[in-house]
Amino acid sequence: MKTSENNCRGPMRPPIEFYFDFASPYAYLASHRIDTIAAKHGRPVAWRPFMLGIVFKTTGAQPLVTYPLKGPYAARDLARSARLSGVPFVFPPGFPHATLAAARGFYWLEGKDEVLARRFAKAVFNAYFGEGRDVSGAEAVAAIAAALGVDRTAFEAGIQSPAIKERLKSETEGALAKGIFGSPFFLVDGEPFWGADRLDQVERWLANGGW
Amino acid sequence: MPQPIVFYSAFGSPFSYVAAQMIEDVAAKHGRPVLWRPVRLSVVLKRHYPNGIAIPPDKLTYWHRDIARVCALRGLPFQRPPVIPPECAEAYHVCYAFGRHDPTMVRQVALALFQAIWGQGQALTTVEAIASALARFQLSRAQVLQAASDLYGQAEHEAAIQAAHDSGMIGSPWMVVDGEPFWGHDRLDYLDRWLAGNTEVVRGRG
Repeated sequence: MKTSENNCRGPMRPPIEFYFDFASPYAYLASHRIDTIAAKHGRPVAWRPFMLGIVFKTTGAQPLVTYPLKGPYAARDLARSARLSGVPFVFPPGFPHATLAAARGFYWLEGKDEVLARRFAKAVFNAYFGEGRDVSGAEAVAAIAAALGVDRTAFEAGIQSPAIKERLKSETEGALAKGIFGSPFFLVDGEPFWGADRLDQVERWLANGGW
Repeated sequence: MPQPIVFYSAFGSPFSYVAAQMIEDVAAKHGRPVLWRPVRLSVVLKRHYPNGIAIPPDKLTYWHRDIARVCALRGLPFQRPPVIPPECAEAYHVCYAFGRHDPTMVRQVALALFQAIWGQGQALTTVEAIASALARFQLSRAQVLQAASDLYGQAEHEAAIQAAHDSGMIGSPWMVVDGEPFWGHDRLDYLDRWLAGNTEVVRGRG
């Protein structure tokens, strides 16, 4: 007897929410691991770019790199973290850059094709932290989208549309409302994990359903 | 004698408490000694950041959850002390004073104080409370009182703060080995790899 496809593996399980800012180097490192970890446990990932700068302004926090010594330590830690995971890493000259266009581009693409939006996100991350390219302008992100076969003119118009601007704003407000104060930030069935160095715990949480 | 891992920890830091339970095992695996250097973090940080560091309330809430989760995962008892900071400066002085003639006492006293503060949730804000926490060492109250006001203990703490500062300490726990700094109990696995000789990976000489 034929059963519905869903019955084989049970109903679709809720996604892991992956909140990040495109200018967050630890989010870049996490972006190379999160999908694999989630897939191992039969879970999808909802990629959720937001504007960390707005969150910092609201919470009164400051970026790590603005504190003396913390910037150099982070640069060292990022470089060795990247080497350990075999991921290319360069600190982009002039870091940090505005990532408004990339985040808007992601949501515009997501409305059309979720898989494509994720490929775009990975391409932006890789251009920025893998190659050190400036991805702050609309033109730069449109070029990345175009390389993935996206219509450039439509993309450039899309990221300027009021609906997409509003979407990013509400995603950022939603992140704030959920208590998200940094990047990367993961929510696993409501359980918060901050930082690429908590991915092992994310994995354990998925395996054990918490502890 | 191989170079030691210098282990800077702060009694007010629950993540230092976690690292304090782990550091000796990591070091022993690689035949390295550990130089225990408890330091009052607020004094070290004040020299780098005279205006303090802004910590949003949501971040604090998260930290409370995170440390409880980390301890549960490692099977460590965890109880929040009733006041923050949970320690007075004398907590550091006694470590060094008792370590004067037996350097292993710095570790032993530090572990006892960590256990009292974060394992049992005690505030060690008075010398009396420190004396109670050190009862297991058969030290009389008078001996603890003397150690707490010992000038050697104060001078060693001051020297440790200066060394921590000079090594670029930006938080605790802070571990330095062969000039390479590691911040956080969650960097102990990096430290482990570093000591295993994977320096070309960690340092990027490959």
